[in-house]
Amino acid sequence: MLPYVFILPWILGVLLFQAYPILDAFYHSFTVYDVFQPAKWVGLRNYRNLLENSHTRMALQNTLLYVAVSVPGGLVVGLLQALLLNVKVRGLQLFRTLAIVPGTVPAAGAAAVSIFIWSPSLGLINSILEWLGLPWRQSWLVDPVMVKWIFIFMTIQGGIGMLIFLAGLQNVPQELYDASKIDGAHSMQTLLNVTLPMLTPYTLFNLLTSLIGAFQYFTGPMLMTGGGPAGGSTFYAQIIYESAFILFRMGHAAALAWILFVICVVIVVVVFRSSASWVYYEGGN
Amino acid sequence: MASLRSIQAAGLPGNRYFLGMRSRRFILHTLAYVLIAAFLVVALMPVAWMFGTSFKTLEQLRITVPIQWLPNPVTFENYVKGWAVRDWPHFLRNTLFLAVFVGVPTMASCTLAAYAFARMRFRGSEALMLLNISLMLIPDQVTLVPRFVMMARMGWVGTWLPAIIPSMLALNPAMVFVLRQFFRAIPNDLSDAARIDGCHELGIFWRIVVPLSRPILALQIVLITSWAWNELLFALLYLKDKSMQTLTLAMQSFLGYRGDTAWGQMMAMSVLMSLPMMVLAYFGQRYFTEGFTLSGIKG
Repeated sequence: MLPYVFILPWILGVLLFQAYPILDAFYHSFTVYDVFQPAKWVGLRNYRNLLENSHTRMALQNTLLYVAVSVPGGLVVGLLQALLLNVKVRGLQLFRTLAIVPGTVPAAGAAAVSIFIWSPSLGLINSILEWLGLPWRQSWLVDPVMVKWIFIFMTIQGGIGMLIFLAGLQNVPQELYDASKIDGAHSMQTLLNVTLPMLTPYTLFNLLTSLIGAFQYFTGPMLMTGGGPAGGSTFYAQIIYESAFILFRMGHAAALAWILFVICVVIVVVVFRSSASWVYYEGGN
Repeated sequence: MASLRSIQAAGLPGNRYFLGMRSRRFILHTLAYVLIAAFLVVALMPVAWMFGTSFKTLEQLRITVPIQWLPNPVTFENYVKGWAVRDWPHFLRNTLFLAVFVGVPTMASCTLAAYAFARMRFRGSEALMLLNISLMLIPDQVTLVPRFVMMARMGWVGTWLPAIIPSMLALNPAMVFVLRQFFRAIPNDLSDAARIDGCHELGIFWRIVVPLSRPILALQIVLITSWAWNELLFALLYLKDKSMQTLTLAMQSFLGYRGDTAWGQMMAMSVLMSLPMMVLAYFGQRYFTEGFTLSGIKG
């Protein structure tokens, strides 16, 4: 009996705040609904409209581009940073502390700094270009094509993924390193045959969480550009928010949410299926 | 043997590596230093710019060649003026409220659930854990709208209940999962011994597992606090009322007024907003490497 008492709040939470909303969104995605009047059934109209809407398509394209570039980028950068901050050099503790400093700047502060750095008139980037004598000064965030790439590259950081890799590195048993040294492995061989395989559970975790996180990307563009200019930095999460809470088109938003849900389920299933062939669990568990 | 060793020490051919162990380590360390320095310079540049600008006068904001990193003369005017523009302590208090109202109930409910999943046997535990892992991978935006409508129907919008009630119901699958991973790694001997001494399950949880899990619990506190410092979507929906707005919302409206003259003030307020997080991260970072274990993610 006791275990069920322990997980009772969790079960209630899943039913009330996960299962019910997902089913409710599914139902409302086939309706026109503005909260004030009862929902009206319209079949697949919302889905059809969404696929034809260029604003939605652009947001989806931006988001897929963002996911495709920033997720692998972030994984590689996070892994490299973790490996680097795991070399036992003097001052390591200080370096580790400094490495997490950029990640501690809250989103609103980071947004303020970023707008300033990319500012065409006073920004650091244009200053550096001028200082180097390069004729590449740009309007950056005001350019509808460039703006999405700025967001993509700005978020390629080790961040929490780096810390998770670092934690993973501490859990690689020393015996394995000793054994590979006795076998005469080079450091590169040790990295490829010991460290990376032992890190694969952490890679899987980081891959899944950063994939899902990337689909939710919202705060940065919302604070910095509001999705502009001309929808150039509008990402998927923002159009869900806007159609529901600015335009009060709940049915629309529900359809958007369900498309997102299906995309994420497909991605997660594919990653999990493939993980059997590349994730190594000690003790075969 | 002696001659072989001296050949190795000299790093001459005859060793399996061209260079001796010591010089190889020297090269590796030098390389590591160079790479770490390069990465830190790039990563810290915006932060340095933020700190530097916050102490600059209006005239110093102009682009100069070479770039002026350090303010000269140093002025505190940006802090004084920026502080006066908004009622910052009010927004800080609301941000702390958000952290506490979400943090305390979440920690309580998630710890209990994770304990049951990690260390108690019951029917359906494997399936439910799998469900938890799946829920971890569903973006919040999927459930966002119906959840809001539900809360609005119950008259909760404009109160702190949308923060408190879901937290009491362990609505944080990632935390349940991470805590369960940690609890599983605690050896059974201790709890078995306590059980033989007649200790109740709740006693084992509270007296043995919780104290041993301090690193992971501290890490969760750090993560929730930093969530409250970063959160925008939840705040836009549920904390719109002036009396409940958080620092992020206050900064958003502050950014909305931006003109080129206000950069110094914006940087100054960003510095102030960042400082608590930097302190927290400094103390929190060691819990990260101690607290995070993913052995057997499959369940």
